[in-house]
Amino acid sequence: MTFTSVSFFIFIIFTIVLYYIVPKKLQWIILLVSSYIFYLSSGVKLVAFLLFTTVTTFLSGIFIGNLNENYAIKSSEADSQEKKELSSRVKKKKKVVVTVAILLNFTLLFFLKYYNFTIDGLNNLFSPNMALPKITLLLPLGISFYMFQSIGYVIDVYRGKYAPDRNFFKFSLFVSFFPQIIQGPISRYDNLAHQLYEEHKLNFDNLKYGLELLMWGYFKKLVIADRTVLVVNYVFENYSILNGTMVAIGVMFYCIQLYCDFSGGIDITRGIAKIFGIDVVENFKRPYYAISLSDFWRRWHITLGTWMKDYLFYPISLSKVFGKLGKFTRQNIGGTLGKILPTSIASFIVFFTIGIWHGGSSKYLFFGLWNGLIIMLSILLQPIYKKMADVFHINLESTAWYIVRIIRTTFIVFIGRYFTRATSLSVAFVMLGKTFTEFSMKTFFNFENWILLGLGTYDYIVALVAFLIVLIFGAIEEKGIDIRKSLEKKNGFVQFISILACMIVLIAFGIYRGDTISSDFIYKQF
Amino acid sequence: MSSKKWFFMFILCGLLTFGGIMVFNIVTDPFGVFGDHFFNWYSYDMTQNPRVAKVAYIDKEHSNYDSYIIGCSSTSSYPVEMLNKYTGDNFYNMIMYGADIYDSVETAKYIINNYEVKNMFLAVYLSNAIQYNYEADKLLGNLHGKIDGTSHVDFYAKYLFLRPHYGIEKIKAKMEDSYLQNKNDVFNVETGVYDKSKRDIEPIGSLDEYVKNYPVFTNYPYDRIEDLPELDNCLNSIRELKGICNDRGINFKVILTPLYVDYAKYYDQEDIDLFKVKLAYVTDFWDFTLSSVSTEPRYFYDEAHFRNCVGKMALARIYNDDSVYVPDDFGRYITSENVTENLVGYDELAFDESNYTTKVSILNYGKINDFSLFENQLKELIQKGYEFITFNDMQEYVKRAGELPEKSIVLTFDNDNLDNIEKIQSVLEKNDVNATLFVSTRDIENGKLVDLQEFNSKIKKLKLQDRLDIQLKCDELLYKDEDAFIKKLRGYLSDFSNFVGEKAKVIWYRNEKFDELTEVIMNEEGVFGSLCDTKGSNILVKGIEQSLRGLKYIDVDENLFFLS
Repeated sequence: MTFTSVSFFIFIIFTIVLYYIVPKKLQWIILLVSSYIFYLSSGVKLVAFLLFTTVTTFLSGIFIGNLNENYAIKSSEADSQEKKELSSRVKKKKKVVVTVAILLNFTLLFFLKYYNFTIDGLNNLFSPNMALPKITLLLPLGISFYMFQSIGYVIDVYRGKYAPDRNFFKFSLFVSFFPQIIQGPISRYDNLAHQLYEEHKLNFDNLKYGLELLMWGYFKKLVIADRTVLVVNYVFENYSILNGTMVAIGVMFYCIQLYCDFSGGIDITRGIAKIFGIDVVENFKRPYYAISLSDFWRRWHITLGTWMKDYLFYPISLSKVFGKLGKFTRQNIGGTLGKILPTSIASFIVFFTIGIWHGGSSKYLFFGLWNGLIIMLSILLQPIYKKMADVFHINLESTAWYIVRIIRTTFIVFIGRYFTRATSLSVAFVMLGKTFTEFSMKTFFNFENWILLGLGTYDYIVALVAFLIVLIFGAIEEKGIDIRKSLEKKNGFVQFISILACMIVLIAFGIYRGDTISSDFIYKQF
Repeated sequence: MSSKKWFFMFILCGLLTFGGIMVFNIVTDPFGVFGDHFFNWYSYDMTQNPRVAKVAYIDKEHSNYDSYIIGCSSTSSYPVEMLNKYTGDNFYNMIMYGADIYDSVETAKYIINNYEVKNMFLAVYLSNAIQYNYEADKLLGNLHGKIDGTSHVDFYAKYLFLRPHYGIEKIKAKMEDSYLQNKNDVFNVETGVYDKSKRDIEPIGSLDEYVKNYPVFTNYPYDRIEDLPELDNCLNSIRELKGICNDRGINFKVILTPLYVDYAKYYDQEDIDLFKVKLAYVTDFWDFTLSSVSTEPRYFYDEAHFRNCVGKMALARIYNDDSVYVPDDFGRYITSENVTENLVGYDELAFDESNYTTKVSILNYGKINDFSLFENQLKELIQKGYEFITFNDMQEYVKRAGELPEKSIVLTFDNDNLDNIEKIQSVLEKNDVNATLFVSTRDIENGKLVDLQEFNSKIKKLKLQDRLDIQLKCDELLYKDEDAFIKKLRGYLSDFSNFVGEKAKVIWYRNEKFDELTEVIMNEEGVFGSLCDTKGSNILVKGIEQSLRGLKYIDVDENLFFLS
């Protein structure tokens, strides 16, 4: 059951109606049951993985909570020396629990996502003396998303950020909340859980906002992403017979497709959640207006970035090892470089991990390396940039420079996309090589070449005009203007026409193939 | 505006939009699932998705049929008319392009479970062992919801909420529709086969010309198929269908369809043999895969599709019809007992067209002035061993097992000779030669019908009708208005048959190019051959009636000396 299937529409309408007609204290149960029905529709066996994560993280939270409570009781009667010892013991035990929870889940994730990749690597490394068997594994839907969300919860409980959830079923809802289980966002317990458990009255403001988000999400997904997928698939499947310009056109459309597919899916998620009266955290903030790669990652898949920041970057940068490293670099290298080197190394590790998060393949490793290296270099070279700007009299506050930075960032992101979409690392390099050696502006602007890539003139126009609308709306929002509020001020007729127009556009220009769209959501695979 | 108002406005817009879409989709019904009541254009619907539209059509028209032949696109080449003639039943051809055995068997099961069925013929293709239960597209390649188990809600909702593009395309296609078959309506609704009206009139002659028109046969794509991964699934489905048919007393036949030899070479010979042996242990079947037919490109449209004439041969072999040309080695009835001794290797087949092709020249005389010279010419030709045949003889050769003399000539006269008919008659009689005289549509057009009728009575008086075949010459067949032109053509033919007393069998485009529409209309009216304004000799191919289309001829006069 995908967000674009007829059965999903029926399911969602039924769930919403039920949600608002049952007694309010039962609302969370409706969401829990619906979430499991939704997940079961993708395969019965896959629920076992979801339950595994739910049980292990729930029990870990309980253990840690019990340790905290015991500590509180015992420490109230203990003297300071005993308190210290007790605290140290409890800390150790908590660490063991959190480590076990993380290891259990990440070992499972590693096994499912990276086992075959590792075996390939080992076999290649020790070939012909080693031939470890590969196994066929079915990757459970959304496993990276719900696992990261649950692990985040355990770490937060460990850190004492909040008390553990003691209701297994409610916690199950937090892990499995159906609008976001397939492709995120990765929510935080303190932000999401209480909203899930709260009682919600039917609120027309929520309904309205939810429906607006749904329409916007479907617009991006059905009108743009599922239209451009044809060019993208064609180019990535036939790169060997295409010239570098055509390859670049394909990758350009992949950038458009990926953004509209993922952010469209997130808008749909947020829209559905909003109808239930639940605010799901934003995952995108107009990433194609980013002025640097780190800015891009603050706007793209925000919840993964913040997860990595909170649960990886800070623990690394605040670790004893990095403390010593910082001391060492300050003393031995000195200056700005000495100060920022540990941070840039930590950033590199984070982005490298983000690359690996996408899947078990050398192309994702390289994608992580690419992002990590660029970000590390941008931190390290910042002083040089400033000096160069002074030398060349570049006004860093000017609009022109702002545009140059956007173009530069887009280009860096564009390069990275070769690695996420190509079938393998070597293919990505071949395609990249073709782009750099064979690119010609004349070929690029010859529209007849575009037609050869599997999409007709009409579809190109629709896709590009629709994406332009997305960019224009983004630009307006960048300026701090709330389009929704501006529209609310218009009279009833204008609003009526705008709703009608949106619906007609969705139906007339959306790509529908059968009861589901031509391609599933891309991030579902992660 | 309050959010509440906005929400109700949203609901209203939704109702308007979705209601509009639903109404539009029901009216246009581009896949025929709602009965196509407004357009009643199932040919279009079947072209979009034959799996769905054919089932919808059968649901509506099942009372007209009691027998079915089912399979992938090549199944279309088995003519329903011949099946009806041989069995006395009413067949429907359930060809579904790209269908695998799963599609065929599940559809057959649906028909058997819901309607009266006397015969169920399953056309099996070698590639059925490669692909099984594959859905290329959820809208264009899916099975009907009644067959694949999709819930009725999901299935009909899919077509109710189709984006309007499909309906708009149908409207556009309807507006652009012409008499000739086009890409939008490739099916003949009543029989279920592909509408091959254009392909049936396509001139086919020498092999060189054919491969020039069909370059696939000169530069044949080589695509090795290493394995038959779905063989067991394929056979299990056939076994299941056979069991159902046996239980219900339905006549079940399996036909293993003809293969072009280069296509067969995609496969290992062992795999082809394995397929046949395993199939023989599931059911008896007719094997048409490899024979002399397989080596002749003119019997195929492309690597995967054989012509209707081959389908006719296959049915004629199954039903022992001597009136149709069938090569001796074409078609074997295979059982588990005889399968091994009937395995044919593709390397054993050799191309030899001498058994089924012949050369025929058509000599056409304009106005003859000197009849003694004309007679001398005839004598000279006879002396050199030429024999004079008629268009009927040519048709006999092509359609049946009849043979033609090694040196065959068809003698024709232009309508300029109408006034000299007695003299012509005298020469023909004296030398025992048959010929054809063409009368012109221009004569009919110019109101010369009265003269022609006088001429006709003269022929009858001379008892010339057996000696001189009279056919129709089409002059100045230019047209802008298709409907008016078709009416005019049919008018010519009607006038012609009134005048001659029988229908025209051959037409001649004098100073005209081969015209598809004219040919299609003439074919419908029983005209089996045509002469084009192209000079040269002709190659006739047995079984291929199209080799009588677009015939070339040689203009001669009585002053010409035949040197050889």
